[in-house]
This record gives sequence, structure tokens and C-alpha cells, in this order.
Amino acid sequence: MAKYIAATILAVVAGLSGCGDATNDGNLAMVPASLSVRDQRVAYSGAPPVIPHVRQSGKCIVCHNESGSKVPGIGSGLAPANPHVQTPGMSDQSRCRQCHVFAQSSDTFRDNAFVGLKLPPHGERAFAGAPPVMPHPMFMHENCQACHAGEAARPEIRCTHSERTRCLQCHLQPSGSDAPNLADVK
Amino acid sequence: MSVNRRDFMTQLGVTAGASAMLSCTPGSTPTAVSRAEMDGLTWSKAPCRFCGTGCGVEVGVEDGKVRAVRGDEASPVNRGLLCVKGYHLPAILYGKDRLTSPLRRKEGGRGWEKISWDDALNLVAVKFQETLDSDGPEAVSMYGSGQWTVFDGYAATKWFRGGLKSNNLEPNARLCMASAVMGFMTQFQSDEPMGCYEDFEAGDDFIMWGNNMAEMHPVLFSRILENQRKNPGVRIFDIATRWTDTSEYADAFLQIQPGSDLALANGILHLIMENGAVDEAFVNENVVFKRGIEDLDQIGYGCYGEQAEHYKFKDEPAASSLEELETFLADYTPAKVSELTGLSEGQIRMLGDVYGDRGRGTVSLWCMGVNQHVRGTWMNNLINDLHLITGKISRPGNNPLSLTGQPSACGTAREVGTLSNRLPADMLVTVPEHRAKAEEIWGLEPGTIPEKPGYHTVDLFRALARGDVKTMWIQVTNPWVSLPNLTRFERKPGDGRFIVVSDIYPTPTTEIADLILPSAAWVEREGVFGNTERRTQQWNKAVEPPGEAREDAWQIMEVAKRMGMGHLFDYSEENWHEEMFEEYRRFGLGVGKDLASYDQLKETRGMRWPVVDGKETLYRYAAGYDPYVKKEAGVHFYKAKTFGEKAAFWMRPYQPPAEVPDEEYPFWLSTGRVLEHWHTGSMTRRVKELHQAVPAAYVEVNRADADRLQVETGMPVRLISRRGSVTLPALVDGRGQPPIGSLFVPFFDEAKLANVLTLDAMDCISKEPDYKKCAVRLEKA
Repeated sequence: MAKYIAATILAVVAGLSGCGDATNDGNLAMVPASLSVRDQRVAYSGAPPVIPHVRQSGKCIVCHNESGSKVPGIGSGLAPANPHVQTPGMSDQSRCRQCHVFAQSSDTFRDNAFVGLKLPPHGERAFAGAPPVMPHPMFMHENCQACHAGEAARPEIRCTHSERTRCLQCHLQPSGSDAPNLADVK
Repeated sequence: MSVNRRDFMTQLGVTAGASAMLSCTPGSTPTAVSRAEMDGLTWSKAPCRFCGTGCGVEVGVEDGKVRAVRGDEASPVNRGLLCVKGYHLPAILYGKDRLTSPLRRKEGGRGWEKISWDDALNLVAVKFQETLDSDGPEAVSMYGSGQWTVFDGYAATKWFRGGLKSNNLEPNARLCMASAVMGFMTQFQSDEPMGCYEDFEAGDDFIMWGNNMAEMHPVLFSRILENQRKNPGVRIFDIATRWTDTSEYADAFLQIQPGSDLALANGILHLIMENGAVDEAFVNENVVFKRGIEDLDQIGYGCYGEQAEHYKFKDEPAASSLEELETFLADYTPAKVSELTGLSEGQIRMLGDVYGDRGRGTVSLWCMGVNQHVRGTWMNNLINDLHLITGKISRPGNNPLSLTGQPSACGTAREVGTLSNRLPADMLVTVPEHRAKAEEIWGLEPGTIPEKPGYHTVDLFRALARGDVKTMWIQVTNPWVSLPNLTRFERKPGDGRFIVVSDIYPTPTTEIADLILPSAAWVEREGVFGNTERRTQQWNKAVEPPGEAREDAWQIMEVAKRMGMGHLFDYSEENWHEEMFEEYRRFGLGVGKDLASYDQLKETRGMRWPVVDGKETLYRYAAGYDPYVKKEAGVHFYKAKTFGEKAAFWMRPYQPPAEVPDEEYPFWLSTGRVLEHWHTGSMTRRVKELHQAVPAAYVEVNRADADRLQVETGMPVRLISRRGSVTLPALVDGRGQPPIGSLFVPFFDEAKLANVLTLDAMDCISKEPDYKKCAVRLEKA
């Protein structure tokens, strides 16, 4: 089934820092741990992750730049890249804390039964070797490399061929997600 | 069309063989998957539930539950972006302590018992009828909200004015937007801004008047930041009483003394005159000059004594002129204004140049700093004045744009007219023709709607405390956290009053209720909100409410029916939303308040009124934009009938705040919100991510004061005002930083009530209280 392919949805918010298990070998055995780390940081697939490290001096984008960077001593030592730099209406001057907040506490005020959207970690490919269709909308994540390439990318979604920069040549995006129309949403 | 995953899988089962070839078969459409197919959710549109920005979201539903939201890329408001509250919308519906059945206080006052809807509605009807019979229509009341949908507010106003014959109907928007309403009404004789969000791209200079936009209207602020990135000449001026996240992004941080904004605005007007920056052609054609009440003893602050119960002054517009303005402003020299504000003369002159520069677009932005102000109407007048005298109004990138705090403060409180003196479409209960029009549309006997305005909010709760008001129904708001000087309104059940509270969660307000009704929230029902820029937005019900929760409008109509007032709501069961909206719409057609048809609202991401021939209006009063303006060019303030269809420029002097620090209470206290929490926190605190980001209220203390008093971040301190005290942790060098001698407390935390400290002084014209200025003492706890 061609469509659910692939990789995962992790990409949506994936690149969070602190993937202590992110290594270059992309060992799939690490996926469950990586997934659970991600789940702790997002309310649902598509929600902005909370910031898992303590406040640092300086601007977020110094470390979370377009390609990600090494930050020895903080979390995993890897700062994921900023996936939003090509998002219309956003730039490296956008205000990160409009959406990403620090946690100051681990308790709750009242219990909540909300169950967020979780996409399956692996989909099916149409046939072995077929390029997976993107399992998440492009919007907010136009910079594929931010999450799918580089050392801070989660192992299960790390691209094996990130030197080929025209991702959309082979990976179709879900229709409707980036060209919304009223037929699609009511 | 909406497709869920299961349907899609079934379809695919049939065509599975072909699907792999989709992307490479010539002539076929490479459809990939649609969003619905990708994630299995059914998506629909809705405006965000929180602030007045009105961001569009897409709501993703699976198995009858909201599982995700996305910023709606097709929404012209937010273009796909949201703030952290907006992203966490789904969880507000699923707090485990949702109210799911009507609850009646047990005999003797302790505990609650579940009762049926029928019993609950009968009880409300009986209590309202009893009070009507014993004490008349002035003893019943309803206190609603700028979070009411248009349907809820419309049902409430029709039931109250047309059924109960009472004007004791108020929204919490009185605490929030009333000064802005009075500003627009006294000058343009029509409420709500002339500008719109396109001003964020069209403007060059953005002046924040006491407005922490980065936290309170983050998505709109991001539009300004994006404009600035693309156009490096764009500037942000932050006139404020404390350093905030907004200050961080400002080109100039202009820290003023609390309440001295009145002097600053007059100082800028003085410089505009002095610099010859008056747009005389515009002024001659479009502006009249007026003077109002200036006697401080007469207007007062409305807190205690004679002034608190009786507002005897009149603020009649007295004819004036540009020449008289020059005399009026003579006092407001840069030197004098510098003394009052604490700004340098250079900073004041800079603002004079900003407003006076004809080559640059100027947008003034304000919210609670200006509205929650003992001279809030005056401050609104002065900001509008700055734009009138320079002709920087009703033009792209040149407007006074007041921001709203609630999702339908404009749509419901202002447009439907749920304030105690209003009727729909800017009409007033005091005007016979207005009542007659409402009676005609509502099919009522002439003379049904009472002409005397009801109590405004603060007076309403004072009257409840006195016992003059006996029965109150509260919906979608939490006054026992949000009223100023809370202890003045303390209430114990069994005191002979009857209070019904409709809400979605237990709050300090439901705690003091006699009857609690469980409400449907947000996408658990069909709704319409109206945002800051006059945009009316409709959404459909996406999920069922939990348990027996029902929407507020339904609750009102059911009680009305039980009181023999069913004729007010003679709609069909299956299509009553549309029928009610189309009836309401009749108020605005042809008078410049034309709303889009319900059909059009369903099809679009909202429409900005006036909507004529299906086309929305970006800039009111502007030729080429507003269909009511017949001129070729320029502006026409066609709603200001008694000013000769010109706008009124009001001269408004500086007057000091109601309470200022002294030896005993040496600190200024301001209160407000934070990005993560919305109002009293009854929704946002139940969202894990938002609660954990800001788990409790605190008091921001300046580093120098903290060192002097040996206070550190996290240390508990006690704040004491003349009215009460509260213990909170201190925050030094935090996100917001007040200057020496100033403190700030957010009001979202029901366990640490900022409003036991605040003063119920108010703007006696708009009747909006001042939450931003009172005097307190700080002690180590």
C-alpha cells in the first residue's frame, strides 16, 4: 500500500533536541525509545514540542540554526536544526517562544484525558524500494533536511541520501495539505 | 468532502493494484494521499477559542474526539501559524473534571446533587419568575461574556430585553473593551476599528500603547515582525510601564509612569501642532472639535461613596475648534510631559515626529493598558485624535487599531449588543427609534423593551452584594476570580440570592453557585465569533459534548420557553442556528453593519463587515473600500450623524490615577496575563503543557527592589493593599521586568488571587475598572 509508507511521522516534530539515542548508524532498535521521548514533548503529532532543556543565554537560533549544531553539555549534545526557516510568514527572526515553552513543573493542575494524534512509526511501502510518500504536511517543515539529515536527526527518519537535495522529486506530499481549499475542509 | 482513513482503505482495496503506479503513469493524476487519508482524521474549520485575534484552525477528529489541530493555512488572519495556546486547544475539552450534568446545591449548602435538565431548567425559570414577581425586572440579571457565541449572546439579549423586560444584561467585556467602545462611539458614532490586519503589512511605524502584544496577540505580532524583516525600516515603539517580551523586539522602549499616557498623548498632539504637522485639508473636511467633562471632582473614579452608586455628571460634547485646541495643549510642553511621564524630551519629540511624518504609515495598537484605565475613554479618544489630526486614518497602514482580548468581544458583546445599554448594531435602549426597530424585528408589542439601561458590571455585582439584585445567571465567565477588589463581592450561599452558573469546569464561581449547568464548549456545538478586525467566523459542531452538557443558547431558550416566552425563539429544531443568525442579521443590513449571510460564512474563513453584495470591507469610511462611501477619494465618516458626518476630536486632559503609592503602600501594582494562560486559567491550566510552563502566579520584582528587600526568585512574599493581601513567590529578572517601585502579578491563578489586591476604581464614562494601577506593600512572607 503505497501510501502509508514509510518512515514515520516523527518528522513532524521530530527533531527535538535531547535525542540521546541519536547515532549515525540509525539502529532501528532505538526507535521505541526515540518515539517515547518524542511523545513526552508533544501533545499530539503536529503540536510544537516543549523545550526539553533549561534556559540558555543567547538566541535559540544560534544553536538551532539551519543545519543544527553541536552543543556539548546540553541534553544529547546536539541541537536539531530549525525546520521553519522557509515557512511563509516565518524566518530566523521569528519568536520561538510564541509556540515553544519551557516546562517549569512536572505536575498537573487537574488531570486531563486528552489523547493526541499519533501516527504509526512505520508505514508500508508499495513495494520494496519505492520512495515513501511524505507522511506529514509540508507546512512548517519545508526544510526537509532539518529533521531528516544531520547528526541530530532521529535515527528512524534519517535520510540515507540527503546529498540529493530535491526531495520532492521522488517523495510526494499529501495533497491538500499545502494548498488548502474549501472542498477539503468544511 | 471529508474522507476518513477507513473509507479510504476500502477504496484502495479496490484499486490497490493501480495505486503503486499513480506517480509514474502518464495521464494519471499523482494524487498521493489527502490529509484525511494520511492521518485518519476528519478535518473541519473553526476559529481559535482564545483571544480576539481570531486565528483559523483546522480541527482533526477521530472516533468522536478532537485529536489534533492545525493552523489553517487558508485563514487570512494567521496563515497557518498559531501560538502555544492555540496549538493546545484540543486538550481544553478533555479535563477529567468536566461538568457533565446539572448540579444543585444540597439543602444546607454543603455538596452537590445531580438533577435532570428538566428539573434544572424548571428551577431557573421558577427562580427568575419569583424574583420578577417580588422585586421586578431590575432584580434579575445575567452576566455573560465576550466568549459567548453570537447565538448565546443573541438569545440572552432577546430573552432579557424582549421577554423579561430587563436591561440587566452585561458581558465581562465591560471589564475589557468598554473603553474602546466608548472611544469609537463618541468619535465616529459607530463601534469597532476602521482598520484591519492588512495594516500589519502596510504600516511603517507600530506604536504600542501599554500593550504587550508579543504575549497577548502573538500571531498578530509575528505579522509585524515579518513586515519588519522584509522592510528593515519598519519600527516598533513600545510605550509601557514595564519591560516585556514585546520590549525585546521594539526599536524604542519608552517607559512611562502609570497613568501618564494621557499626558504623553497630549504632548504628542502639542508637538504635532508646533511642528505644523496637522493635516489641515483632512481636518477641515472631516473633523469637528469637542470638549467634554474636565471637572475631576464631578467625574471621579466610581469606587466608594456617592460616586460609587450615582453617576450624575454628563459628558456632553461642547463645540470647540482647532484654535481652542492650541490653547488647550499649551500646557503639554515636552518639558512638562517629561516631568509627568518620566520620558526624556527627546523621546517625546521622537514620537511627535513619528505621528507627524506624512510619508510613513502609522498604526497605534492598544488593549488592556489603555482600556482598563480610570480615564480609558479619554485615552481611546486621544489615540484616535492623534490619527484624526494627522489624517492617518482609514488608509492602509494608517489606523488606530484597538485589539480585543476575547474571541467574540466584538462579535457578541459589541455587535449583538449584550452591554446593559445596547441593542444589536450599535443601537441603544435609551433611543426610542432603536427600541422600536428591535421590537419590530423581534415581533414584540411596542413598548416592550425598557428604556432604562441596566446595571453595568461593577454596579451589578455591588447591587447583588447589597441585595438589590436577587437572581443572576452567569455564563462562560469566572467573575469570582476576575472582578476587581474581589472581597467586596464575597458571597455565601443561603443569603437569599439565587445564582446559576453555566460552565465547562468547576471554578471559584461555580463554588459559590446555587445551581451549576454543564455547557458545551467550542467545537462541541455550532458557533459564530467576531474578531478584532470585524471578521465574522462560523464553525460547525465537530464532536458531541460530554455527558449531558448543552450549549448556552439552548439553555437560555429552554428557560425562556418554561417562562412562557417561547414565542421569542420560534425556530425550527434542525436549523435554528441559521434562522437565528439571519434574523439577527436584519439589524445591520443597510446601516453599515451588514454581516455576511450564514451561507457565505459557512463557505469562507470569515468575512469583515460591512459585507455588501457578498464583498467584505477592509477599510471602513474609506473611498474605494467601504461601499457606503460614495466619494471618489478620501474618507467619509458617514455614521457620525450628529457631528455632520465628521469625526469628533475630543480634548481630554491628564488626570492622575485613583490611587498612587505612598509611604504605607509604596509600590505600584499592575496585573495582567501571560502568553500561556488565558484569563482565569479555567481552560489553559487544565492543559498539561501550558500549566507546566507557568504553573502558578508570581510577583515580578525589579532587581534593585529585590536586593534592597533581600528577596530572591522563588521566595514567598506577601503583597498587601488597602483591600486585601496575597502570598506569592517572587520573580526577579523574569520574562517581564517592572521598573523600580513597580510590581506585576498575572491573574490566572485561582489559588493566588491578584484581584483581592486590585481597586474597583473605574472609568466613569465606560464603567470599565482599572486593573493596572493601585498601591501595595511588599513583605517577606
